[in-house]
Amino acid sequence: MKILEEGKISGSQFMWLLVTIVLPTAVLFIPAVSIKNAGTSSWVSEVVTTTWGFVIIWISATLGERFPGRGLADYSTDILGKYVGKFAGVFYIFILTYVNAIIVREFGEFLLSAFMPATPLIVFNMTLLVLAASAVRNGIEVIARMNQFVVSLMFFALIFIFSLVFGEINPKHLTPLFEGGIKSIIHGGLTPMGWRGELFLTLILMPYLNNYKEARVAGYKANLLLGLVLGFDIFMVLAVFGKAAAHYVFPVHALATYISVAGFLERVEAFILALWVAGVTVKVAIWFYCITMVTAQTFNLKDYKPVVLPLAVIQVVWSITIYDNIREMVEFFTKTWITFSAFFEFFVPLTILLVAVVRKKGGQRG
Amino acid sequence: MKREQLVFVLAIIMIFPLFSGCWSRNEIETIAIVSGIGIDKISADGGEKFLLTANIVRPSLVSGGAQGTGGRAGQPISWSINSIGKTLSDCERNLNLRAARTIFYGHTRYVVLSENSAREEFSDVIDYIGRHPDMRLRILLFVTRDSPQDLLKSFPELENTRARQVMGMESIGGPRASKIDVRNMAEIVGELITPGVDPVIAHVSTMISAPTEAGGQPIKVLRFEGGGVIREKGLVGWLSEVETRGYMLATGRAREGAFPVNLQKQPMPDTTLNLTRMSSKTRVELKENRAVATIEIRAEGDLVEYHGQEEIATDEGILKMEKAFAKEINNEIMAAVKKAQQLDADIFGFGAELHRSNPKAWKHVEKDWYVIFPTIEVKTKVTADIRRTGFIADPYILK
Repeated sequence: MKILEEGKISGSQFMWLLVTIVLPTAVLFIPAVSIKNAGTSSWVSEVVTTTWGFVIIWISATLGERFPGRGLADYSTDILGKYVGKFAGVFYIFILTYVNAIIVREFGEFLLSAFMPATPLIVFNMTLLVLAASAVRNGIEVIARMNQFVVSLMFFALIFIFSLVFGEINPKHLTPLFEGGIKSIIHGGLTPMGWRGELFLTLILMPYLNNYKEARVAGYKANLLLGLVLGFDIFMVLAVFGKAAAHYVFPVHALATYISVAGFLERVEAFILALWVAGVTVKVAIWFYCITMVTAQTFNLKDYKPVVLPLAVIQVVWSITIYDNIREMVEFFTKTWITFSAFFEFFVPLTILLVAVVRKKGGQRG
Repeated sequence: MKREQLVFVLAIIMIFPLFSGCWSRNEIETIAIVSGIGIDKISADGGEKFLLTANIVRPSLVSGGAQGTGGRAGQPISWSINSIGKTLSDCERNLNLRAARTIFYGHTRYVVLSENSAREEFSDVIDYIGRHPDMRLRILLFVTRDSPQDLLKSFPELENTRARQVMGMESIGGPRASKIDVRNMAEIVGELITPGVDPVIAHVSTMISAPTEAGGQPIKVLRFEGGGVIREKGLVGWLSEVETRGYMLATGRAREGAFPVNLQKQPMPDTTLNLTRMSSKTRVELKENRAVATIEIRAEGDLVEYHGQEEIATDEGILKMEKAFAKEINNEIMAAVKKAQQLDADIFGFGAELHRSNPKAWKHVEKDWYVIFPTIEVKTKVTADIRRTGFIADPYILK
């Protein structure tokens, strides 16, 4: 069956897409949660998170490799039967839309509290989704190429911030090393697992690769890179602010505002804005693209373009109504997010994979 | 009309609404740039109220006001405006009953607390500053025994704004003498929330100076002196200049400074040694509920002044100076330790040090730390080296 897309992406493009799927929001929100839960062990927690990322990639890649060139909502009917399979498709439409609405909301909340407090939320959310919708209508190749540029921008901003704030490190903030032992290391890694689990989109993006066999290695690479970047991110925030970082809503933003080189290179938090706006636009575009593809595949549409705008409208409205206030959002991330995300990122794909293995669907013949 | 043309025209039309700009714009002519604020608590209208004083820069005068009283036509370069309110945010908005511009904290460099607000409301002030989206983490905090309102009207002697003077004290002036420890918001908050360490914030006061120019009037100027000790929720006491330097030596934050010492037995110090670099290391051990803290100091200095008439640039002379230098450093540290134990505030971070080196033991004593702290036995191990003697070796021996 068709996968509704002519464009193909290379292995390295796929890897950078996976990096962007997680990085822009995680880099901003993870340090506060992790430091709150794990204290000085928080930066080691990324080992736990990265292990989880490998598990997620392994499940997604193994399932995808059984059905090369076919979409998730398409082969799920093969594995689970017509009705349950279609239900799985509808389930993922719902979940992905929900999560993307959350991401859009995070974007708006950050801009609102840090930069433009008087602007209505809907302006940011709508602008973002209009941009993302336009990217989605242009197809995966355009997103992937745009992403290659944006990733370099994000990494430049991060390296810029980290290197300028390096002199402010206070080693005393890092000790006692690994306070709380293995228990707190795991505790610190739990919430970030939800973000890292977003790599399960491998499952939906795999059919658009030139060579589907490259997906697994690219996924592992992306996961490792994310582990290093986020681990370093937490490390820097902890080393500069110590446990006070747990009180900041956006620790990396605080890090950028703290930069002062020779009294004149200051107020560089606009770099955070570049990282954030460019990164999240692409992140939302990728998620949006996945939703569109799953929708089109589930309902056997001939073209995916007609569903783009209706889905965008749903997401704008949902992103506004989803939370009443910013603390509700943070509470959701610190308490609900881990079990909620583990369900659709880990259990459902694993179940589909197990059923596929038991019923001997897919495999080398495919 | 072709479709492309239609789309083009539509796109042009849709751009027009964007020309009016965004919601959150802060135009320069609509904001009042605050360079520093003072916080005081007073009794007014039959109750305790906050008094917030904001020092607002007159932008048009900053560039032209390098000379004289700092402004064109004798106008002061900054405008001190105050307001009373039930909370600090209330005060901030009440400023707008007088000022016709948005009060903008984005360029605020320092916050001065009065003694009574620092004693009772320190945590509230910290919350207000930390929560405010415009305030920076590099804001410097000070405490004063005088009134903050007066302080914000003092004359910024060498610089053309008070904010610049205060900033210079942090990066240049302060480290030259090491008698004040100017800390910023992030550092102070870090110490406030870390168990086993209490912060010290710089103490600033106003004094009347003699006229600084020919034919001038006596003016009110800023002077920094020592520090205020914060424990838990507020200020508990003061450190003198010498005690502050002892504190800075013990925590390794002292940079330079003149140490007058006696080589001969006489009332006035005859030798001055200048600290050039130093480092410190603290170890805390727990022995049967008795804590012993060892502060190891490595200091280097130069001879900068000698009042005697005999040869000093000899091996024995240097040795004598090193001994006196080490003794003076030890004395200053012990003075600070004594004051800290009197105030029962762990400014040296002995508790945090114990936490770092022995987390298990810390868990046992954390609750009673302020009972244990005054009884801690503090030992110092000072290694002081004299490296150079300046441009002359032995003093000019007069015939």
